[in-house]
Amino acid sequence: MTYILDKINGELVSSEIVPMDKKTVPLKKDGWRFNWRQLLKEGQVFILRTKSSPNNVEGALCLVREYDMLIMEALELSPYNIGHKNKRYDYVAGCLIAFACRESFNIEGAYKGFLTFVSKTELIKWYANKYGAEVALGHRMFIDWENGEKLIEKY
Amino acid sequence: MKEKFEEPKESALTQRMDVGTQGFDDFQAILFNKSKERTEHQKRRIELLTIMYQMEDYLSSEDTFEKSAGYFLKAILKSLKIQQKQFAQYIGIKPSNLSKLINGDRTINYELALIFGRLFNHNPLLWVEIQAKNEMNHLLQAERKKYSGYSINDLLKG
Repeated sequence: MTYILDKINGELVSSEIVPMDKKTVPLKKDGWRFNWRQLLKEGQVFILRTKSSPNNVEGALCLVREYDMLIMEALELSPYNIGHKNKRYDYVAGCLIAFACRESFNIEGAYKGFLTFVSKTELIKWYANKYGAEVALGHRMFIDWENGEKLIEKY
Repeated sequence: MKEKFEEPKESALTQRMDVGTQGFDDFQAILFNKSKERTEHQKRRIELLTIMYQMEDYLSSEDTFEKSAGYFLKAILKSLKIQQKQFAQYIGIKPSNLSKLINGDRTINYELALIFGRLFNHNPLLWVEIQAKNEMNHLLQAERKKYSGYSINDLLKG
């Protein structure tokens, strides 16, 4: 069970992270940036939704495994969950990142416990300060198992 | 003091990974070296966390494939390379009883759950809840008709 924060009333709302399917694919016409239809074919794709409104996708995540390493290939929030002042729900990104960190423990081999991803330039500090991510090379970042464990406990 | 940072202004929070490039190979090499620097204590902790998360996932899943508490105990001992005989002696039970625990022929009592929780540094209730989940499923499967016959409306009539 995960909880996200309703910014309107300040209450925690029970939510769940479930596999995405054709019925729940977020679409570009609704303001989403990634091509989630395509990502559905490429990796394991998940959505975060509240239990009370299961038809609304609050955030989406695509995980792929390449060369025994887990990559957060795409992470996106619903267009109405961005912006410091105007977003509807908070903790969506944190919950999805924590979920991804959890999945990194299922990797066998040297890269077990590493969640890797490519950040945007303007989000490097955000990932570093909010989620304990570290820069490894250029925009390629990772969250190691210790910080992953903290995120899993927090979210 | 934490650095100031901006919240995302766009919905997409990542870019695609450049798998297959030299940059990606170098990135993997950096992480590979980091993993080699992990101490034995850290490696054990990672293995224990892995199994703990698997236990939690099992509890919250509706999968019909049953995993006994002993299944997870066996996984822990195997990942930590602890011999079953040595473990049995350490916790004060006969090796034959430990085998039965692992095979699901014997239950893990509260005392053992507390010992496991302490040894493996996780919530002892995990062991109890996994057993309870499996026992409930057995009962449901064996006597589904019996339990489906109960209704609060029968008590509230009239």
